[in-house]
Amino acid sequence: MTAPDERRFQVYPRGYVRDNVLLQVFRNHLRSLTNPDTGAAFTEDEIARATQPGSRFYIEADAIDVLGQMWQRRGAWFADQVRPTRANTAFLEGYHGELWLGSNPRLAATGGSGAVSAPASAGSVFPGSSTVPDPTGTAATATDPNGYRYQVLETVTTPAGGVATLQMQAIDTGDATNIALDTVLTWSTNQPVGAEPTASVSESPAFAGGYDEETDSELGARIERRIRHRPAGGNAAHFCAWAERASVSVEAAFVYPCAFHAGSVLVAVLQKRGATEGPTARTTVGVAVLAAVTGYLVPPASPVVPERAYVLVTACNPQTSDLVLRAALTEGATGGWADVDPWPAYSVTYPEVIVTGVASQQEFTVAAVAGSLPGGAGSLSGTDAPQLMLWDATTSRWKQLDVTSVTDDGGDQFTIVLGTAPDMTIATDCRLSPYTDRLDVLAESIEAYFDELGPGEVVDLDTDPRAPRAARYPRATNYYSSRAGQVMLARMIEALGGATADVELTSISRSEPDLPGDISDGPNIVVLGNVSIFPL
Amino acid sequence: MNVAGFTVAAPAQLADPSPLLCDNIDPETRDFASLTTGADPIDSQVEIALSRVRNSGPSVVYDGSRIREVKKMDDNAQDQARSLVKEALSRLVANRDIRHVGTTFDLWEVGSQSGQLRVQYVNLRAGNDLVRSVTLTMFGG
Repeated sequence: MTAPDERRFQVYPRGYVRDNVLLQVFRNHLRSLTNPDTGAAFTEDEIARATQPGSRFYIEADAIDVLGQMWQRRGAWFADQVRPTRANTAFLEGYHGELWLGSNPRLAATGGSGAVSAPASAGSVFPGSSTVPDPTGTAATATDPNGYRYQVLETVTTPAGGVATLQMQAIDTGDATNIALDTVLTWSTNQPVGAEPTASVSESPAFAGGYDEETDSELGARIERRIRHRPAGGNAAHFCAWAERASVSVEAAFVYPCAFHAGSVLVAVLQKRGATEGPTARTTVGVAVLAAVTGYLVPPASPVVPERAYVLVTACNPQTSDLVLRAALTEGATGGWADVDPWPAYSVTYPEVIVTGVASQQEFTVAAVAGSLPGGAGSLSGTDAPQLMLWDATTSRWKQLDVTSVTDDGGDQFTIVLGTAPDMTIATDCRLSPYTDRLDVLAESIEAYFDELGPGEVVDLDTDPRAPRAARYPRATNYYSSRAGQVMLARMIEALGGATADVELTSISRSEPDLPGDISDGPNIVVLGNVSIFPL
Repeated sequence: MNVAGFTVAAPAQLADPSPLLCDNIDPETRDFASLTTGADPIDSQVEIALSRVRNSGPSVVYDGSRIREVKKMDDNAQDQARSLVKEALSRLVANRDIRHVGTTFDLWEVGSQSGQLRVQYVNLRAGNDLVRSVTLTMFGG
């Protein structure tokens, strides 16, 4: 790899000035002098001894070098402050942030939000407030098992069924407020008469949108985007900047000007992943996040957009993409394929080895090439059994299987029996691959690649008359590409380092998102679906 | 200090006197006077190795001695001093510049406030086998 062009000015390595002083100046000068003891010129040996490490001249020259290094370090440090993504906190907030984004540029932490089922007698009223925390103190609040507080956003009257569905948002902030499905919330204040003491997170997706305070690198990147895409007079870049300023949970905003008609704007937001697992972490935008962006951008309530504009804020709709990959890893080795003869291998007839039937979470069948078990065996068990892993599409990770036996059932069917059930739900359509202990490194690099993608278009750029205006801003060719493809391999090879010789993307079920049927639904985005990986 | 709205630390003041003293400069030739006068460069390095406090500055991280760390004139002090002298001269010995003959203790009494030790060596670069010595006086803490 070539060294990046780090500095626009010359920097000297430690010892450069010292050696310059000693070798070029000092030693050269000594050569012109006469040794008073011998009456002859100093010999090279004498000169070398007088200037060797530990000699006073060496120490003095080294001290000059150290002093120069100190001043050079200050120069390099100051040069770093010019670039927002390298500046330290004080310069970032006090200089770049103040200059480009105004005072207090850093976005505050937000709390997660989502739907909660609250059992109560019909007619009980859960008081809510869209201002969090409620200044009047009338909204009902609850706490989760960790003690974080949540507030009801809108007043809801319990229907005849006896269960009220409430939209709640965390009063406390941070990633920990993205509570999981079935988390129990205990009412703490303003519990309505007739309500049960607890409620629970009921609807999938669970709470989303809770995020810690904007980090230096996120703020630096936002400032750079602000510089690169100049917002002015409500142009597309201005809408992007407004949306990204509305909530710290917004990773990026994409603008489709005039998508509906002249004077209309469609804004699609992606949410930061944070600690959330799964392929839809960025597309499942929290209620409160969407409300914050909507409140900031949609007139007449918007503080920035004039009232005649028609603005619609949406999330992006995920469209999964299934991958078949082949990696050249060492076989039968740590850091490669665990088995000497990995099974199943890739074949054109069975490019994916798919679970066809599930008897229990410890026994299932897959379809693969008939008679393909290593050595043509009818059944392999114990230490002879192939080591396998199964793709968990809900978390985008492989799970290692504790294989007891693999039996060839004839035809293309194989029964796999496990010693223990894996930490996932085995269902038909799951993808089976031979096991490698690099499973998490591979999965994380694939996930990281898909997290670099952005949404596609909402109108057909080739045929639609709105295309010149309604194309996505920023353009997909500029950043946040909407196309998934070969670049993924570079990410995987980077992540694997020396462990792999090559990785091949054998097939990808979707490389580009479709146009949405209804623009109001927002654009589509390619997200990670099922992944199979085989030896190359 | 306040520079362009940013608070920066005041520049560090060097300890006085500076641990790295400048050479005398010949007023006529503007040469360092010690280039052609004074001690043999190896003898000078022995003196530096024993007198400079090791790691007292970034340029002498691996030069100088830690002999001043001997604070107590107890039973172990002689062994400790011997070992520290060996460490101080290790570069010159490894470089075949000197042969370390030994370390003797001229004035040394357990429990007293001071002691004097003599480091004897042969300058292998000087062309004769003369045993030279450096005397160090130590003060107990």
